[in-house]
Amino acid sequence: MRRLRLACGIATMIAIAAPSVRALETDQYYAFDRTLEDAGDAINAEVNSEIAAALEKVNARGAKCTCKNVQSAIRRRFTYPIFLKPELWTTNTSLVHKVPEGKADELRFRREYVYAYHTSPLDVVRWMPPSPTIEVAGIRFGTDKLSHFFSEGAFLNQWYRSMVRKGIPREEAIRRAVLRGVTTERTVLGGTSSGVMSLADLEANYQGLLFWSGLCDPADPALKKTPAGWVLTRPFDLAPLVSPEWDESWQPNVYLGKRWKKVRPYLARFCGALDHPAVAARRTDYARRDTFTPSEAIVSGLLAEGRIPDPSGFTIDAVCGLPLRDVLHPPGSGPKDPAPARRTVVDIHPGAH
Amino acid sequence: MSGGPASRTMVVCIVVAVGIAAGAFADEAPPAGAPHPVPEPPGVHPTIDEVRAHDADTTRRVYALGRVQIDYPRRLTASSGFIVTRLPRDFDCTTTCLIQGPTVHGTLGLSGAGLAVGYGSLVGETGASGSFLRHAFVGWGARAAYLRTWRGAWDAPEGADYAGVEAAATAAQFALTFGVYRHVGAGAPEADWRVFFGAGWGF
Repeated sequence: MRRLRLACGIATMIAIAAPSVRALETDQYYAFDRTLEDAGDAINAEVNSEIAAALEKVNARGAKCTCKNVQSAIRRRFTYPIFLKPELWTTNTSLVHKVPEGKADELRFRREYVYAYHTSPLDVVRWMPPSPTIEVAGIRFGTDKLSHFFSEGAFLNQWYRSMVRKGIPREEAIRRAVLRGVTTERTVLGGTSSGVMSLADLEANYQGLLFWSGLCDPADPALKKTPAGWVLTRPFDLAPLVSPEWDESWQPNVYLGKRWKKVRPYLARFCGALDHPAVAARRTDYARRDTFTPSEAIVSGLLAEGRIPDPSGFTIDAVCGLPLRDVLHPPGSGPKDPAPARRTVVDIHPGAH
Repeated sequence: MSGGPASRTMVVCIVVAVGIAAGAFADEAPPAGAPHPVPEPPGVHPTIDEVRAHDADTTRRVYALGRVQIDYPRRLTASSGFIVTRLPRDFDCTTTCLIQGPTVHGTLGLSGAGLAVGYGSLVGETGASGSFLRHAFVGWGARAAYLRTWRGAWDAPEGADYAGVEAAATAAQFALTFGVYRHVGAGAPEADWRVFFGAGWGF
């Protein structure tokens, strides 16, 4: 009986902890007016190094492998529960400039980042560490996006492939796969766990789908078998995959429940920084590069059905009394329906840009 | 610990733990030498080789571990120990680091104590402490363990010795342990196997 009670207690603890487990958050406001060096080359070299290591291992084994087997070997190379290895490497290596940088700054970030602001240590969002901000090709984002890219992107690709095998047209299969990712983000990865649904995470997931799908794309696979073994014909390059939609200070989270009440005053602290020349220049550049992406098309559908609040209300523009930006469908980004302006998996392959 | 069954059980447990550790280590070092099967654009910096050389410059680190848990059969226990690992020289584990290596845990509880040796893999951070892994965000471990019960142990005799293997997992700082143990020592019943488990905070 005692054992049963203890087992029940443990099950309850698991039920309490489980939702927070995969909710990694970030805060680009903390780095808003700080300088960052481009991290693209270092991250590309690390990811290509890991892909090369996976291929070297597969080739050394000499066994007959399908492209899918090789893709799985690459995926295993990146995998660690919740935190994927590229994220852990980026967070730690001195080859990547990030904010916070250095021990004192990291400890300060932990005390002052958006979800530490007026929240209790018992708040589930604080049970997992916040991710630092890096910059690639002029786009700022949290290192958690690398885990989303490689992990959730791989899951999306599995779903996508499975639907294609069932005869579902490719565009529809992509839409359904991304929609599943949205459901995950609305539940275990954000919404119900931390009250934070990250649109930026969805975009990173989608780009991850493009990456994984492109490795063994039947029309033009990035992985090819040669007499010397498997090779990656187009090296991984993060620059063309990132976009303003990855930056959570531009692509706002959708806050659920009481979370917004705590986040809003934090954002208000940065109204003055909007006039900072570097911040203003970045936001101008973002406005120019912003598009209507496939993941935004899915979110637009949810918004139209009244299933999520309008993300435009969660922008710093809204908090600081500036004219509201149409977050999902920026001006000049093309028609809202039916086709998104941005390219999709059908015509994008990693490294081809 | 006296008698053949105890020794055999401990040897089996240690072999299992070492085997798991060896498997975990086996995937680490990428092969070097031949041209890479990934082309590199000219002029990029750092290159694959530069990143590998940078990360190959490692140092050995020892981090302290801690865990507090409700434990069957020892009721409330506190564990402390250490993990030995190698990390690139520039990795500062103030924030999240992937730490993997041999572990040693000593446990003291209201109704028992124990010692466990094995292998652990976790993402954790030291925070301001510098050497104590204050937060273990996710991880797992496999250990050969030996424990002794005291008065008041739940569903176990007082003064009994057990040897076995224990698996541990931590997620969002919540720890779970689960082990299969054999009652060993003088006067132990034949083939008295038990499943012990616990849950709490830490690694």
